[in-house]
Amino acid sequence: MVRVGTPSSVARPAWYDRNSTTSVGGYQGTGVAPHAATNRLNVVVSSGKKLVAEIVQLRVERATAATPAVRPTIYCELTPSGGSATRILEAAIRGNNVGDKDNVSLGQNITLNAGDTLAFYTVDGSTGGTCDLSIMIKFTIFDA
Amino acid sequence: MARTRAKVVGKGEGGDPFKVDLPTYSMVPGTEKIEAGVLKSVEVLIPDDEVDEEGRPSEEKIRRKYRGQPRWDKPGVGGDTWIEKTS
Repeated sequence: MVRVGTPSSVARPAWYDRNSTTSVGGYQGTGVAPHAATNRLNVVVSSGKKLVAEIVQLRVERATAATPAVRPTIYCELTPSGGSATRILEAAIRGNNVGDKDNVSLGQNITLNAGDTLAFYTVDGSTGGTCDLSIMIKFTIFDA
Repeated sequence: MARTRAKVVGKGEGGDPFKVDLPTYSMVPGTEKIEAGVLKSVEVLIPDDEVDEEGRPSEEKIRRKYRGQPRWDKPGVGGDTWIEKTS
């Protein structure tokens, strides 16, 4: 029997064994006043790498009442390299009671390729009042 | 991570939010400088491999790390973002 092509006797290491590095990031704002849309945290996958996001959690909680409240929101957008942004996760509250909250997490791991962007935003159009805002992310970067 | 004060760009709108013109960063809560309702600057954490010895965003390092990505592999990237080192 004649074998054609490159022998593949050595399997390629699994992704977590390809020079992987653990990274964490976040934004924890306490008593944040109403504000315009702000890109609090941004992650771009560097060239020659891939990224697996294992934990993404967003939490918004009203700390002091507003007059009136206008839906404080935290959201995450994913922009594939060369593509357009899509909102993939959002935490928002409509209530105006102290302690009203929303807490969302990514349901499963997501894999990003080089040039893909994960961007986290907060916005609060209320008048007065404050919110506690939390963004947490844990991811692993490895050779593509 | 390097901590530095950085210039904020954008209008604070959905399509043009306030942001720092760097690929990877996280804002430090409570460090915002706001003038007339406009977020002017904020302290940010930047990966060590994207800054120079003084903590300034390094065009050379950013372009090397994001080589081939049009948004970041271009002359002047990160150059006018830095305001001052904070820690």
